[in-house]
Amino acid sequence: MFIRLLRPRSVLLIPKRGRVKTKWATHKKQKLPSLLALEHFDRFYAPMYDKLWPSIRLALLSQQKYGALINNYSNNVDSAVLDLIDTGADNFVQIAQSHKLSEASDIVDKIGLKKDVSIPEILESLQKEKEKPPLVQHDDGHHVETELDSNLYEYMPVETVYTEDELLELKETEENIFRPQDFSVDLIEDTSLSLPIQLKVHTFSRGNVTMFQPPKGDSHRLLDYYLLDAASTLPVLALGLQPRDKVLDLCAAPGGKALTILQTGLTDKLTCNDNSHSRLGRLKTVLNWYIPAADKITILKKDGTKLGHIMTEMFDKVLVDVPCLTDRHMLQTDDNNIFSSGRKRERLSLGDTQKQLLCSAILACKPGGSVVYSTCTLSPNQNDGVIQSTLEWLWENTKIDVSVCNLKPLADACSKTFRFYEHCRYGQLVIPHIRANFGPLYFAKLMRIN
Amino acid sequence: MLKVIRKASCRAIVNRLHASREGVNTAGGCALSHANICCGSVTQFNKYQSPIRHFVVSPQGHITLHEHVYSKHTSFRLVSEIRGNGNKTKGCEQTKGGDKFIDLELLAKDIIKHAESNYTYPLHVSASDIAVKIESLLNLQCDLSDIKTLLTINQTVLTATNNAFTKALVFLDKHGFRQQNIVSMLHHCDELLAGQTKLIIQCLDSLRQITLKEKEAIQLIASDPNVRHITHKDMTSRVAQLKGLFKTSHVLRLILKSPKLLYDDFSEVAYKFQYVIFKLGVDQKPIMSTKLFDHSVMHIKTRHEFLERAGLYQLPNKKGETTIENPSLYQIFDTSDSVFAQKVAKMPTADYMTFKKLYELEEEMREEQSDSDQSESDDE
Repeated sequence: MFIRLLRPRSVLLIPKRGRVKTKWATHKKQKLPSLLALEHFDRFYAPMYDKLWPSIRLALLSQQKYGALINNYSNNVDSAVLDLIDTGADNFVQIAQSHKLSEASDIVDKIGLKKDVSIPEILESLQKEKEKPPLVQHDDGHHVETELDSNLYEYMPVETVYTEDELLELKETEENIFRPQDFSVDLIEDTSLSLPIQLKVHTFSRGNVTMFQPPKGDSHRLLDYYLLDAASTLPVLALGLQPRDKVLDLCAAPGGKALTILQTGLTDKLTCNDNSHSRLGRLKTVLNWYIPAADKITILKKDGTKLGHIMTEMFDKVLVDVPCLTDRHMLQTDDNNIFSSGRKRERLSLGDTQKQLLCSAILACKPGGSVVYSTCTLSPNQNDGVIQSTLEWLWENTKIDVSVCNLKPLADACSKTFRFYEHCRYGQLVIPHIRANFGPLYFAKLMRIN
Repeated sequence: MLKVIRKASCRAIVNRLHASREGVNTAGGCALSHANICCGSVTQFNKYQSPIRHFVVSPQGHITLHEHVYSKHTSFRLVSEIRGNGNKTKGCEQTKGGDKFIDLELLAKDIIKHAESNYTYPLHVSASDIAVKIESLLNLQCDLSDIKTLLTINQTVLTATNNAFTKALVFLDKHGFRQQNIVSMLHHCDELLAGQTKLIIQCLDSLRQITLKEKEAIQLIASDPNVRHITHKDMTSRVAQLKGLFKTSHVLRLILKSPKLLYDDFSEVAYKFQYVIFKLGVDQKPIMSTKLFDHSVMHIKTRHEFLERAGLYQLPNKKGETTIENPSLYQIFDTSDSVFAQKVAKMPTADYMTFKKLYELEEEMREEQSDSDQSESDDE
């Protein structure tokens, strides 16, 4: 009998509660990163874009529209252009050219004073709302005893203790709210802005949902057009390239914008940089398919944030297409999604990276030259917010004078093709619309004075 | 207006019928024990001469309409209806012709002229024949504008002989079709004018069998004459299938609302049902207040996707809660494109039309994708 009690089976009967990890709830579905992204956008963009949000959301979740960038190096340029016009796709750059750029809107001298940008109050209230009741609340007395040398009467108990996740959450809210400050910047009219004649980007008209045929190769195996989001050619148009300009594309991969720069036929020297090997591989593939001899192009693999310190004041024009939330892309794929829980810190540090990249770009730019900053997100903090904080930083820490160029004339010229958001402070934002499903794309132009 | 009479009176009726000279070929004792004899409500069986309809239901569920009982008196009714001898028809003529006299000959000529403009060849019909047709339809209280459109657009009715036409009318009237229902049946059922009535009789039988009321059955067949091609077996099995999805009383209401339910592919019906239940997170009750099954699968998907992508429709959680107020199923599915876009989604109609095209493309691409995936897995 006694021996029986000592058998291992009886040992197994020890109550196990609390020793085993609770079961995964099978009925509770794991939230996919794309769904998390959508929730994030609903939370932060809906109050910002208000009545526009349903139509933006609809467009973001639907099939995007493409533009065909004609490859001027191909032998079949003329036939490709004719084919595209036959199918109903017109060159939007040509349409924009017919709209005179000189007919600018009223000149606005100081941004902070005249442009009335009222951030919705909801955003402010959102933060308050998000400050959840504390999870752990310390009662007076219990823990105080351990701190022997403290004065009981002076000691103020901790009101809230946040877990690491909650801290991240708070930071996320902080990161995603853009507070415009009355920070006065010179807004100048860009006289150099002209649309390159050689650049041809064909798009279907509003409401036309026809898809492009895959591009064809010519006798030298160069493809006749490159399909890309037509809005991403706008930053290149904003660069205002002049013949024999030295151009730097700071985050070049996968090569859409670099190719657009080359297709203008104005650049003498293009330098492409990216810090990731695999992405550079994609850039090289694209260039191989479209450019006969890639000798004009210098490809660098440097950290973009430090490049400005190495190659100071070397370029006439700098294009910074920074890594961002890439709204549309994040809603479509779950692989490598920046909204997956493992990449939360990376996501939260995006704002800093963007700021550093922009600073680096400004350093790499010659005085009198210009920098175009672009993102493909709707997040105001990654668009106007980054420009604002960079300008503040430059003003406080350096002697560099920078003014913002007015891109309204360019936006007006392209308004037949794209839908622009009206309340941006420093740049222009293309917002997706179901009939013209391009973007989102933000671009702003800064001119370095000295 | 049908009633089921008791066993005892049923026996009495059949006895009386047996006693009469015509004799009724009922299923005899079986029919009596089942006690499901229906008869025209106004009619009293004692006055056997007046027009009556009898339906005797045998235990096997077969309903027979005893036409020969009726046919003895048809001639009388035919005359009274067509020539306007009866009291009812006289009144009718007074309302139609008394206040505003209609020259039927002139009207007939007008109709022929209109009809001929639709066809390249001349129609050999006499105005007097058409006048007779119009008159008989008018006597059956059909709407004059309905008659005009019927005769103008339907060549078969226009060119049919008066004899065939009268026969068809008598058949329809005798089975309880009234006013617009008559016009609708004449328009859609070409075989009626050729004297083929079997399909319709069978269909009415089957509809009664699934416990639809007489008026409802007639309404149903007149509203969607395609129903007449469904066999009895198919109809009962379809109703049984539908009872798996809805309550019995709801099934009948749904069938009356969308007769397509009876002959649409069941997999499609089930798909629509499941789509609404699982993707929209509603139960059967709200479905009852929409014409869900009249719409195509694509329509249902497009409307729902449009709202969901715009963030205007949310799948309720387990407790049925949402953070926004969802529009009703009626607003989502039964509204016209422009009303839906502007009132429900609050966007321009052009946006919705573009989305429709875009979504069709997306679906095509998805199908191609799944096809190629399938063929790949087949290869393996």
